[in-house]
Amino acid sequence: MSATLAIARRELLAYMLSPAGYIVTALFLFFTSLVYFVVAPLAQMGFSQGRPASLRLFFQIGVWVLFVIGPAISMRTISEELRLGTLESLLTAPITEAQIILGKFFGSLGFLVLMLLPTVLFVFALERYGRPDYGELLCGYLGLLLIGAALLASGMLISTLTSSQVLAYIATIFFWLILLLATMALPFLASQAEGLAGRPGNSATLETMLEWLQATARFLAPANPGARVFDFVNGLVDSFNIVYFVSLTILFLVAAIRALGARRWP
Amino acid sequence: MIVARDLSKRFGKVLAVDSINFRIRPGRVVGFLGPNGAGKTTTIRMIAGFLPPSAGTVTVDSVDVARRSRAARRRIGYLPESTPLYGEMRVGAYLTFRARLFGIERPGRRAAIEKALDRCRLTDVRRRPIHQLSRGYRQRVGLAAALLHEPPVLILDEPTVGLDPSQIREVRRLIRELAGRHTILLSTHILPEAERTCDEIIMISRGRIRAQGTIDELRGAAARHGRLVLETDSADGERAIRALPGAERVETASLEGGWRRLAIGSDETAGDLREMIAQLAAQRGFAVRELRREAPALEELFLHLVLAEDERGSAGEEGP
Repeated sequence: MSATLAIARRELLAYMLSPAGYIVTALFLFFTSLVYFVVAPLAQMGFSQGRPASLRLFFQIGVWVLFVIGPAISMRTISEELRLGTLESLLTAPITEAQIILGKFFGSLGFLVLMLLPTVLFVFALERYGRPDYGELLCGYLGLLLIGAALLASGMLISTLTSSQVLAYIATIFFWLILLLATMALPFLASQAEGLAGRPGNSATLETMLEWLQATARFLAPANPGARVFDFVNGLVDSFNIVYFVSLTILFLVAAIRALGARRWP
Repeated sequence: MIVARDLSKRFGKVLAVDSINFRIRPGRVVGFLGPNGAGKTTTIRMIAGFLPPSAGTVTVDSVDVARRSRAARRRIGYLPESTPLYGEMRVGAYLTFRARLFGIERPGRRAAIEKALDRCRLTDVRRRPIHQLSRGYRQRVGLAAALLHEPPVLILDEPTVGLDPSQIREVRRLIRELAGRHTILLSTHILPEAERTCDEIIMISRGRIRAQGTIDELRGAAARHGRLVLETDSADGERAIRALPGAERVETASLEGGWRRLAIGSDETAGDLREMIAQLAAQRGFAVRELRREAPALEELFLHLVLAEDERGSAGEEGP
């Protein structure tokens, strides 16, 4: 436990001592607040008069910015240790791979929380001009945190596989892009093809293919991370969504522990 | 303290370490000596628990490194090659981090860190970020981190590589100071380095142990591979000497007045070559102006073992 905590603290410290940590935070805050406070009000959305005192738009932007920035936080976790050779002194200390991975995960999650912390100012702004619904706000933050955790865990798994941070970043982005596409495009295709099934003159092969398409779409549609997180953004706490992100995170963490162990015991 | 039995490591088709056996007694400073690529780092990594052996076992303090890895790692202080450190951390913070990894808890932690700082003469740089330090200091930070938990065994991979002469002297002095309290295994490719710091040397080349023993034992072995120097003016005599059993690698140099100097690499398992040459000179009646044995250096033995192996290797198999 103490070793896990030590690694988490060192990880958090490394973010705070590196310019990259500040750049990532600045980018996140800049883009989300630019849209929420400047661009959206031009179209009478976001932070503007007559609109509900809600951060919903901020959370929506935040999710997409996290997709870009989350992998940038996680890319260095193991890749950097591989490049510097410090992984060797970490793996020869009397600690388990799980302690290393969990320590680094909680360290990077801590950094994510620090990054979100300044946006509490947005809540003060809402409080100044209206009556925000705190349930909805908490729910939105929970959503950001849950998808953030899944993003960081997946990025860490990928960073155990390469000493190149750039490669780890690109591969993580790619992974989520494919997940988003597969879970959005296939169900869309299936809905378009719905009318085709059962028509006279359809060959047996076509019927089977359509059946398969519907089945995969039914299976994949609920796995759409975008849809799962936007329930939170809209103030809906669905236990399915929580289970979805938590189990995804655990899956990635366990895989990362195994991947790190495989380096030692090939 | 450290016992390796038939230890092997294979990377794909390359056999990096080929069933080596050694036993390191407690309190000794032992040098792993060999050219680059000999398998030193691979062997060290297997002992430190970073790489699993392909075959064979290593035990540290009677604990099997592969089977009870964490217990073994707790008994080892390991400084990897090129001293990897987190540059952005301060020296004190880094040592605190390492102490936590090794489970050194609060009451004794500060004292342990102070002691390590003091032993490695780092007290005046404890607040400096590591990336600002010179290589010599970084090496000492790595060393301090390795001995924080007072391990019975210290393993140092090329601890003096890349340092300037005064830094080398400093690190060497530090190792000698630590010698009483820890069993130390260090690797180096520089023979005088090993001669000066170590009690025992294990010579390793192409993944095999070529020679091992105390410095004196190895010097004794080197004497058998020593060189004789003699000067003669008789071509006939030279031919006879070359034909003697045990005279190998004869090098000649012409001197003025028809004299020639012969340097003979002697393998004296057949007997003392000097006596045989004296006898020969008396029988055949040729003049010998000088006959002496050159002080045999360990370097000779080292080169002999490594070169001989290289020749055999390149003749028999394809190089890596």
